[in-house]
Amino acid sequence: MSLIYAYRICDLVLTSNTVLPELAPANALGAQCRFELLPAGNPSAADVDWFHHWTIEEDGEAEAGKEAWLRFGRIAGGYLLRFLWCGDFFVSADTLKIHCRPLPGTPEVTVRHLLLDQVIPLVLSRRERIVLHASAVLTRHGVIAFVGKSGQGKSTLAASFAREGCALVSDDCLVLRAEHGGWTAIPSYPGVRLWPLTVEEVLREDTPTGDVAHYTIKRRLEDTKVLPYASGPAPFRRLFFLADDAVEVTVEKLHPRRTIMALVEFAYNLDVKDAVFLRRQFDTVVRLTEEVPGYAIHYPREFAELPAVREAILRHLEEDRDLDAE
Amino acid sequence: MTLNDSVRIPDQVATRKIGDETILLNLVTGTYFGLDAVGSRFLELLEQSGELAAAHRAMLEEFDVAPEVLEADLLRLSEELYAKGLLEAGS
Repeated sequence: MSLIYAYRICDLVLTSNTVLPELAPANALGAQCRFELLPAGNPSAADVDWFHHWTIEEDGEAEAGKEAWLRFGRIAGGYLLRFLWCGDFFVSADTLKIHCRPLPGTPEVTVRHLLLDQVIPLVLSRRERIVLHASAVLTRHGVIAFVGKSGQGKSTLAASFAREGCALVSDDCLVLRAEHGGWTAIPSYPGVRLWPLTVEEVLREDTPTGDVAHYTIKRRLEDTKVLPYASGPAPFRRLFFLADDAVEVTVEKLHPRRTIMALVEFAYNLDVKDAVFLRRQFDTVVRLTEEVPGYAIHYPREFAELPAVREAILRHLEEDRDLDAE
Repeated sequence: MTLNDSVRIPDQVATRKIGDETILLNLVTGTYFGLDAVGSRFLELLEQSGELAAAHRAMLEEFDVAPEVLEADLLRLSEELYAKGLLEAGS
């Protein structure tokens, strides 16, 4: 017999046999998913049909080598997610159960990071209309998202907006729901993961932070007094795709075709071989694109330029007459 | 591939028209592909007749382009779509 804790992440109530201090507590009676941390051990010897992988280059967060750092496999009853050097996560086909067997020596903080920032978004991709690799903040015009690859500045930009009072909605996992005749952004959980230099430059050197995982020097910042966090779902208004480094800040409206192709690239997907799911996701992305415009934002990747970038985005929102109509 | 070939969009490919452009998705491989307005028109004509030659004839009337240039463009696009499993040989 062990204690069971309950938490909320992206509107999902998750019970856990281990403490997840990054998340807000919830009522276990409404639990929709159960997480169980198993004792450390060797990788599962189960018969696995490996069907997909993410490389380190795509993630940009790991620093050692260019191997597949996450492999996706099908096993009896669900999916196996194998994280290089860290361990296995088993996700039941109905996404009601998640078990983790870490490799010996994997710290709990790493297990929690993998659970909250990788596995849960993939699980949610099966339960929600769409889940994007995107940071998001709440402006007075509604929620805007910053979409881009790891390392392009999503979290930095979101933290910069939050520092100026725009509540954080997500750091890297943005759940969107089609409801009330529009789209709603669901807050993920408080906090952002930033490089130490970003903490120093965007916030303050002495801002309290915690470890993210043993394999990265990124820091987790979860003090909502420093970076305010959205109190609940809010209307979703604009998609900003982070384009390449540039000398000046420019905002360019994307043709819907380019927006769709970009959204597909940045949508979480637990099973990229599931044709029924792919068709549903395709329809969702098309609908989202028809209702929420996408823009490419080109800007200098200099901390000193962040106020100008914020100003350009806010000015763009102010001048966007379509927003008034919405 | 030549203009004499017949082709079709496989059953496992979903297409969605967005304005005058089209997105194709291969539901087996998960491959997405975007077509501009001209490519979309070509796909539309293929869906109607399945004949590359018929699509070529129709587009010659609609666009100001030399026959050999259009032929090269259509065959190149067809081969690309074929390679991605977004087009297959017709009957």
